[in-house]
Amino acid sequence: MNPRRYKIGEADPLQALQERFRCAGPETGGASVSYCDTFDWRLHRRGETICISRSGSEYDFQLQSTQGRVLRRLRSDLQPGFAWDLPQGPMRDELTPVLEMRRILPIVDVNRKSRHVSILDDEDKTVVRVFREERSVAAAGRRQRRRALAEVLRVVPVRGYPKVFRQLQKFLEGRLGLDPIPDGELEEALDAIGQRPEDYSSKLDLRLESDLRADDAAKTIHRALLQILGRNEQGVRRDLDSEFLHDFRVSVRRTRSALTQIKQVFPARSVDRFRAGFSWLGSEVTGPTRDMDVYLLKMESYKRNLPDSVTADLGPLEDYLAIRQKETHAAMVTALDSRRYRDLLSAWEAFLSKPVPARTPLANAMRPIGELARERIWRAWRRVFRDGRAITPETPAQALHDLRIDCKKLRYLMEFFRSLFPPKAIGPLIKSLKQLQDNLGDFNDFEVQQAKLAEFAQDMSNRGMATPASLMAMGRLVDRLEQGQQRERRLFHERFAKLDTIDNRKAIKILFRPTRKEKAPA
Amino acid sequence: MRILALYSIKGGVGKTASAVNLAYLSARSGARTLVWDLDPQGAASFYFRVRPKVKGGAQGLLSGRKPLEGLIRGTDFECLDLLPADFSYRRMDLLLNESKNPKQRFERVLAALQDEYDCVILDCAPGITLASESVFQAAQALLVPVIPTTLSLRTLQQLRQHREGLGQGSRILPFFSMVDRRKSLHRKTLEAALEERWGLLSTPIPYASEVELMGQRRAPLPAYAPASPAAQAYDGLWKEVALQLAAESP
Repeated sequence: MNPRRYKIGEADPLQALQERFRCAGPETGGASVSYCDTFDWRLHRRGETICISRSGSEYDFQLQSTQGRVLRRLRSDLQPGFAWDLPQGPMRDELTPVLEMRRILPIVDVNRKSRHVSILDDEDKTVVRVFREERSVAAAGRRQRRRALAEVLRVVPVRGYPKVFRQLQKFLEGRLGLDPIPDGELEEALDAIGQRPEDYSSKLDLRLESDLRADDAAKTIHRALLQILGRNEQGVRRDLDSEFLHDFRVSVRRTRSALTQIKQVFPARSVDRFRAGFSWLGSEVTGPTRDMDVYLLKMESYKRNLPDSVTADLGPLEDYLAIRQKETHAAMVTALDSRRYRDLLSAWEAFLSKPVPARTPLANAMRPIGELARERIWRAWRRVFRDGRAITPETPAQALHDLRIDCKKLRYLMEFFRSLFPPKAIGPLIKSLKQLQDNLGDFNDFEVQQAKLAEFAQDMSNRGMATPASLMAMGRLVDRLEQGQQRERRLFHERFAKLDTIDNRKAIKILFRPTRKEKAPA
Repeated sequence: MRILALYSIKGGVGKTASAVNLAYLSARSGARTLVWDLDPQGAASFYFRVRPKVKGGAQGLLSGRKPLEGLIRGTDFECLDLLPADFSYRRMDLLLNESKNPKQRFERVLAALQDEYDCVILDCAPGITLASESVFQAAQALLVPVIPTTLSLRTLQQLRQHREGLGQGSRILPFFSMVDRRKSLHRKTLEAALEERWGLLSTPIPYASEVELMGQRRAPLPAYAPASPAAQAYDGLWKEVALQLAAESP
C-alpha cells in the first residue's frame, strides 16, 4: 500500500481524527530531506528515488518508490556518494547494478515542519500514521529562494492493517471531504522548482521527417548533440563521476562522425574547421582524463582477475592512476577554460543557429534527408559486410580495427536517422550490430590495455612509484589481457556470422537500398 | 534471503529479547527483515505490540493454503515486519508430524517470501522437538544464547552433539547472554571460554535492567535506549554475526 496525501482546507483534520480514532500525539517534528538520483535518472526510471536526511552525524538513507513507500532503509555515518561507498549489505547489493559508476546527486531539498498523530489499536500499536506538513522546497545546491508548497495531510499505512487505513481514507474523503493528491511528493517538489524528471538521457532522441532538407536535418542532429555536450560540462569540470566525461566525449565523437558522414551538406571550410576543433576536444583535451577514469573503473576487475595473494600488489598502480587522474583532470579544466574552447563552441553554436541558405551549390544540402540517410547507411552496411567477410583467422589484427571503425560509423548513422525508419525494423539491426561491436570493441580494448599498462609501468618507474611486486602483478595482468584478446578474436567469426544472415541482408535491402531514381545523380 | 534462528534448548536465556533487538538492528542496516514468532507464548509479538493471532492458525500456515501476505504485520519500525505467534503453535509438533516432509516444512513456507525479505529471524520455542528440527533445516545459522554457567555450557554441548548426530549443515553461533559481571561464576566462565576457545562469539550481552524494561516499553532496546551498554552490546553482536555470515557465503 502506498501512502496517500490530501490537500488541506480550513479545518484541522488532525483534530477531527483525534475525536474519531484512538490516537497518540499530536507530536511536532520536522525534517530536511534531499531527494537524490543519478544525473541520468536511473532510479526515477524504475519508479524509485533515494531520500536522504541527516540527524547529527547519522544519515538516514531511504530507497523509496516515487509514491513515497519506503523500500529499503539504512542508517550510516558515511555520506553516500557512490554505491561502493555504502556499507556492505542488501542496500548496496541492490543499488550497485543500478547506479554502476554514477554518483548519487541531490536534486531537490524539502523542509518539512509537521504535526503527526499515530492511530493506535487496543494494544497501543501504531496502525496508521498521519502527518500534517508545512513544506518548502529549493533546488539542491543552488542559491535559490525557498518556495512554499501547499500544506498537506500525509497518511502512511502500516503493513497488515489495511482495514483501519481504509476506514481512515473513508473518513478523510467522505466525512471531511479532503481531495487526494495523486502524485508523490517528489514530483510535486520537482514541479515547484521547475525541473522536469528524466530530462536527461545520453541516448539521442530525435524526430526527423523524411522530406526535411538534408542540411536542415544535419543541423537538428548537431544541435541535439551540442545540447548533450553542454548538459555534461558542469559534471565534467567538477568531476562528479566518470560518466559525465564519457557522455561528453560520445557527443564529440558523434559530432565528428556526423560532420564527415553526412557529406556535402555544409561548406567544406566550415566542416574542416569544426572537425579540427572537435578532434582537438575529443583527443587532446579529454582523452587523457578518460583513460585514467577507465583504468580506475577497471581496477576491480583487474583485482578479480588475479589471485588474492597478488591483488594487494596492484596498490601502487591504483595510487598512480588516482594521481594521474587528478593531474589530467586539472589540465582538462584548464583547456575547457581556454579561449580556444569558448570560441569553438560559440562559433559552432552560431553556425548551427543560422538558417539554411535558400540556394546552395552543395550536392546534398537540399536533398530530402530520408533519401540521403538511406544512401549513407546503405553504403556503410556494404562496407561492413565487404570488410567483415574478408577477415579469416590469418588476417592481421589491423583489419579488425578497421572493421570496428566501419561499424562505429554505421552505428552512429543509424542512430542519427533512427526516427526515419520503422522502429521494429531498425531496432533489431542496431542490436545485432551492437553485439558485433562489443566483440570488436573488447578485442581492441584488450590490445590497448596491454600497451597502456606497459606505458604506466614505465611512467611509474620514472616517478619512483613502482615496486618490483607491482610490476610483476602488472605483467601478469598483461598476460591475462592477451588471453582475453585471443578469446575475442576466436569469437569474432561467430558474431559476424550472426550479423551476416539472409534475414538481416533482406531487411537492410528493404530499408536502405536507394531506388534507381535516387541513384541516378552521381 | 538469509534465515537466522534464535534458538535454545533451555528457556529464559534472553532468546526473545535477542531476536527482537537483532531484528531491529538488521532492519536498520538496510535489510528488509521479518521476525517469525514461533513461540506460542508470543513474547516477540508482545514486544512489538502485535496481537498473537494468525488467521487459520498453525495449520493454515503449514499447509500453505493461507497466503502469508495477509498474515504479516508491520511493526512500528520501517522495514521490520512480524509474522505473529498464535496459540495454536503449541500443537506445532503434532501438526508437523501429520504433514508431509515435516523437517522441510518451515523452509517451504518461508520460500514464498524469498523476494520480499533479505533477512528472516525465527524466534523459536525452547526444547528439542520436531519443530526445532524443521528450524535447523531452514536456518543458515542458529544463534544460541548461553548463560555463562556450567549447566548452560553443558546444554550447548548437548545441542552440538545432537546436531552432529543429525549431520545437518546450518552453523551454530552461540553467544553469552544475561551476563552478570558481579557473579564470579559468570566472570570465570567467560574468561575460561575465551581461553579455551569454545567457539562462542566474542560479544557478551550483559544482564541489564534496560533489557528487562523491554516488556514495559514494548519496543526493541536500541529503539529507546540506543546508547545503553546493553544496546551497544547487541550492536557489536550483530556486527559480529554479519561478519561471520559474510565470511561463510561465497
